Amino acid sequence: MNIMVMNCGSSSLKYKILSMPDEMEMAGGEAQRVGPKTTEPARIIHRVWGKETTHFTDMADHGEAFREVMNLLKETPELEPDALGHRVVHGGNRFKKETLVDKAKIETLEEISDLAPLHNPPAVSLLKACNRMYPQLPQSAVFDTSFHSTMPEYAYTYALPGSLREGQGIRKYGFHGTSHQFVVEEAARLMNRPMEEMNAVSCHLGSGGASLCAVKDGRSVDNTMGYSPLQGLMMSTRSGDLDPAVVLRLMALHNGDAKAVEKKLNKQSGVLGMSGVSSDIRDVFSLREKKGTDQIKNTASLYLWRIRKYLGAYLTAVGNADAVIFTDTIGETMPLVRQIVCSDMDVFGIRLDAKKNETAELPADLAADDSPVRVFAIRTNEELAIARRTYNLVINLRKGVKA
Amino acid sequence: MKILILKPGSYSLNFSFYSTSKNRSLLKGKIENYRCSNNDRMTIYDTMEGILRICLEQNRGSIPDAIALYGRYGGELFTEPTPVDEESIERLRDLIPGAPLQIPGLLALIDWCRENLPGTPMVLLFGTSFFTSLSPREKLYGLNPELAESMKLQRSGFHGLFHEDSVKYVLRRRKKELREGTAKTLSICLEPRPELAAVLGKVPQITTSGTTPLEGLPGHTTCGEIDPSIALVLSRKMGWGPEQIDALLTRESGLYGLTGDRVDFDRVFLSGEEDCLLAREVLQYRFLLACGSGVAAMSGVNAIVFSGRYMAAAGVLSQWLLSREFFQRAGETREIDVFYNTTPLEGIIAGKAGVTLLENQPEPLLV
Repeated sequence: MNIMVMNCGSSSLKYKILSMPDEMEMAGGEAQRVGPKTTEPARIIHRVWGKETTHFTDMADHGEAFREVMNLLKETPELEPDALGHRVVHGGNRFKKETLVDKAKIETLEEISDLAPLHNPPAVSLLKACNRMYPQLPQSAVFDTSFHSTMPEYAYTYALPGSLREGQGIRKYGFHGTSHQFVVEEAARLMNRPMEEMNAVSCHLGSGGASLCAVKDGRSVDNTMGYSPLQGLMMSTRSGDLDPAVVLRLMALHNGDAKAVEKKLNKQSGVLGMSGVSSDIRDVFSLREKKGTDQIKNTASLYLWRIRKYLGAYLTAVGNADAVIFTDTIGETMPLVRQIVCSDMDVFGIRLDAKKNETAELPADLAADDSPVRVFAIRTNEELAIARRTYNLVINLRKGVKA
Repeated sequence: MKILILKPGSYSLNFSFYSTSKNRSLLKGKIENYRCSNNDRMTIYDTMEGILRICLEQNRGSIPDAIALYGRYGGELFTEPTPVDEESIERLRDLIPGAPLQIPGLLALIDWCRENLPGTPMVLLFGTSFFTSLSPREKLYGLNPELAESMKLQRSGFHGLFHEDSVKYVLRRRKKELREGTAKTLSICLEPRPELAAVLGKVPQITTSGTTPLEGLPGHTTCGEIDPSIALVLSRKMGWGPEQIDALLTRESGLYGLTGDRVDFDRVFLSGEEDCLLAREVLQYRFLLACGSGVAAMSGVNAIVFSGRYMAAAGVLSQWLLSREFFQRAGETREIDVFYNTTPLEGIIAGKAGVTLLENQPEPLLV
């Protein structure tokens, strides 16, 4: 069965075709500059069996981008998908796990779009277009939030009045769930343990977004991101945790313009805002090595400090961790980050093997032999995780098993 | 020495007439609905004249030996208790942008005291002083540094006097086992706006508070840590302005928001009321996370010390924390002591003010 996995950005559409259940990646690519015309032409970078080609075509919206991609796939008949799997950032309280979507569910997703105003609308618009163009293809929605639906009430509750918590759905949702679940499952496999018995802290450190997840008995019990992806660690352009009073002062500075503050905190803060030179923490570390300015040094140390503090908090919450897992671009490729975050953490049972940390090939256990807690670096693969879930949903559909 | 302690808040003025020889307040009180700014001089005059009258009645007509003025926010400029003089008043004025409500109030009180109690020495004490040595990684936010500097947006602690006193308390009791400079203390201050500090030796490593005490642990009516986007969502969805949102987050949230009732920490932790259950669980968990961050920051922990006015709650919270798997395991390899520092804030203020005045007077105040 060919599963096409799609990941919508605000002006892009990334896709992969995976053959399931053998989990072989056959094709993939990215439609770029989807939407209104920009200074550079819109294009699709298309990859089949590793061979890359670029196609220039205007794509007014994600539906058109999808149509163009499908046209490209038709050139290689064996690539045509049997099912579609969509990454949807926010499932709110309504979607606690992945689901096959129909018109009614798309409508429900539309109703909760304001929970993720930047991320959900393009995904919903794509779901609609796919449903219209290929009604015969089963489509799934896999949510970043669903792994965190097991968070206990005391962890997801903000100390706010009931009218906001219950009336407006203001609570912690958590994100990056697909990735966290994937790498914890991989760690469980490497440790020969059932997922239901895994206690771990997963550190998804992307070059853009980043979050930590506390996992107890294979279930997410906390995530550093909150109601939105802004809370938690400092990220490439997001500030991470802030005193709410700071947000209010910024609002007053901008004459109550919440959109301007939202832009400042989501797009102009974090590593970019602090360093003033780059949104990529790798650039900051590299500049620091060359005797960077105080601004560069402060950016690097704040980035690491926040991870370390949250790691300690979650290891304490989990209580009896089996593993700490590093993943995504920074977590997988920056031994320095892992080394600093894990240094002098004996009190938590963490002892990193410096040599393994520098040289081991992923996936790898980087902990010293006598370390009670294992430390893994595992390559995340959200597309594969989405394909696996979509495959299971479709198989169950064919068997007549109710989701 | 008898010290008049003045603690102006946003809406009230707490006062205490403290005897250092008897180690207790001879009298104390609180003026509600108090506005303390240069525009409200009449209110300050009325209030202070009333307070002084009571003090004189209780003190057989003699004026206080000294006045201690306590403020939460002293910025980076007040690193220790400071006698009031022209230079320190100038420094106070420089702090106005960072605390536009509090500092003018303190200045107005100083004006009043100088006019009405001339020659009585005054000392300024701030809850932030202990935290002026916080490292940049702890006190900075992930914001543009020029913006943060211009708006004084950086993190601090606000119960520094409690934490400093608590750490001394721990070191006095653990001096055999702990060499100064290496003791790893989690200091938990249970006041209506609670705060945790992780202190290595005598140096704070982390604080749960932020630019204001709103960040961090939820309080009686304050929200504590929330997603920063929530304030923006309230503006977008409800059409609220910053003042309305501020009122909600500072006066209608925290324990009040969770229970719907004006409860304090003792009631939440001890009453067993069903309506308090969620608040208790949320608080316990937040304290546990804060402890974990502190342990990571110090690479270990030797002691947990509680201070503040809710000691009964502290007893329950400490038992809960120590029963967590992490502390059970950590306690197997190294003893973790729990202490309760019951010294009230007035006692700490009076002690520090007295020492400061003695150190700064050419002639000894007391023989």
